[in-house]
Amino acid sequence: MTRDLRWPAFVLLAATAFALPFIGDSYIVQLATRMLIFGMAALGIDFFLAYVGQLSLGHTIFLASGAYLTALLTMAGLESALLVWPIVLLGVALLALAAGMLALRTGGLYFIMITLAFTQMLFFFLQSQRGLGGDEGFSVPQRNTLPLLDLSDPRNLYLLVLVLLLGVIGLIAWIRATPFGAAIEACRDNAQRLSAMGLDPYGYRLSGFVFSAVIVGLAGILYTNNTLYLTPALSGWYLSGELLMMVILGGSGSLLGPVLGAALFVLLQEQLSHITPHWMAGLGALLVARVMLMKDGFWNVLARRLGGDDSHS
Amino acid sequence: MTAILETRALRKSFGGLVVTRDVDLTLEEGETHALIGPNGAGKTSLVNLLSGTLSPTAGDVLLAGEIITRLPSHRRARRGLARTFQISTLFDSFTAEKSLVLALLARQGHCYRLGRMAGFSCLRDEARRLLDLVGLTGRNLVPTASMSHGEHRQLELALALAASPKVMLLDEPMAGLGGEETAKMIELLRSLRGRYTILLVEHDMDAVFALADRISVLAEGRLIATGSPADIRSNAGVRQAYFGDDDGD
Ligand SMILES: Nc1ncnc2c1ncn2[C@@H]1O[C@H](COP(=O)(O)OP(=O)(O)OP(=O)(O)O)[C@@H](O)[C@H]1O
Ligand SMILES: [Mg+2]
Repeated sequence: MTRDLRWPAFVLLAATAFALPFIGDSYIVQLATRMLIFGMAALGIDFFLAYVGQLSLGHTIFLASGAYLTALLTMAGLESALLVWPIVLLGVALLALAAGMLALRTGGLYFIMITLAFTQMLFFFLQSQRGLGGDEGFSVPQRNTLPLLDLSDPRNLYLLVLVLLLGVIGLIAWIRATPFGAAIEACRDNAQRLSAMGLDPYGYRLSGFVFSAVIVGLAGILYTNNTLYLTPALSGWYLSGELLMMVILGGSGSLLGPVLGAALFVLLQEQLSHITPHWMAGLGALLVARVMLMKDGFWNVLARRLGGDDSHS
Repeated sequence: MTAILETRALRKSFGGLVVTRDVDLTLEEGETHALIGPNGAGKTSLVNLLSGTLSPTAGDVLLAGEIITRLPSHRRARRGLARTFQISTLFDSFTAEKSLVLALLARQGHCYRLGRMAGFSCLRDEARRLLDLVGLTGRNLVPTASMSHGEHRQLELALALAASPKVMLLDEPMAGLGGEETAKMIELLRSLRGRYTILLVEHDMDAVFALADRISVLAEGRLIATGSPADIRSNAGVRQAYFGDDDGD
């Protein structure tokens, strides 16, 4: 019997992540913040993919609406994160409820097409807003403010994002261990059996959809605070595809896989795009290699090496 | 005797194909009622109409005197209608125990609960008792996907029992079981007789005659006979349609 090294690996990773702002320069800190934010968005999308069991190409609506609402409220003079962020999360939840009630009535390919249509509608709406800079986008004058923590220092923002990401990971792990989480996964496995037991699969799918959207919405809030610049591309299907690539790279159905996949993706994007404008081809090759050569994302493969045959962390 | 589950002129067609033809079926409270008929007779379709998996083209389904024709299957389940499926319909990634704890929690009508699943230790005990009852002792932590076909049949029954139902619709619980497993399942169903109202769809005639209080025969979607096992055994029309026996005696 080998020891289960997944927890030590997780702790080591988290410790490194916490030490990073004290050893890295501001370029590295900002790059790492970006990795964590996309990691959170990828986690949200993967919750829907792995546990609710449906592919969505529409989750960038929630990334974009989280980001844009934050920017608009901030520019309207609301600066406090304690005020703005809950309002934005509530807004994203309501939007997800409405979108989910429309889209989840259908299944499979229709669901994918409807969610895709939603992102395109938002994309063209945002693009047509002259006041928001159209295609070019617009810059946000400042970050939200928190008592005690000065977010204008990128290191503080990074640490906050890290803590929130760990919180989201903990939240997902907790939900999965509850009857609510079990019912969500049960309707992925077999909706017919769930209804034969007296539970309505629709409600669990819908709440899983809203939950995953809120996680992506939180990533959107943090995105605005990190980049202070928004463009309509945030709502495009292209970004949906990239987020799915992150999930697939790292491994779906695990808590660290999507985060590590996002980190790798952002790093490669950054490094390769310096070398060649055709960096996407290199990334594509990596993705093909991952799908052809490995049964699972690299974190899941690594996690099995480290002990245990499932992917709990 | 009071009717607990009833159909009135129930009809289902898929395009031009009529799979349920004006069926009037009555289950008396507490009886074990076998539903037999050749392959493709429409037995599973009838079970699906009763459980709400299919909705009828015409006619009504009544549970304890109330019309439930338009209720979706989860609503019917909450009113005490449980079922098993001919083709095992289970949560593949769950252990048997987790599936059963979920089924036990579902008796309250919802699972929007945020305690830890592992914290419901009395439900875990109840789940294990059900697993013992259906013959899955010690298999509580095995993932459903790695259980055998026979074990799947047993788990199907345990899930139906977990609902503490009034009526159980069992669609070929013995399908694909070996000789010894079949004998055990018959024993188990015998022990449930009288405690539940059971509609038993079954091809195994020994099982049917051993368990049923009454038998209904379906052929090409039509209910051609209902009666005691002795009546059915001697019914010439049934022998013709079902046993392919045409010597009349
Ligand atoms: N969804 C469907 N669409 C079209 N035809 C169907 C559908 N479901 C069942 N049928 C047809 O209805 C008829 C009855 O099927 P059903 O499964 O109810 O029979 P059964 O009596 O359960 O048979 P078996 O003993 O083989 O289980 C068959 O001819 C079948 O092909
Ligand atoms: Mg059948």
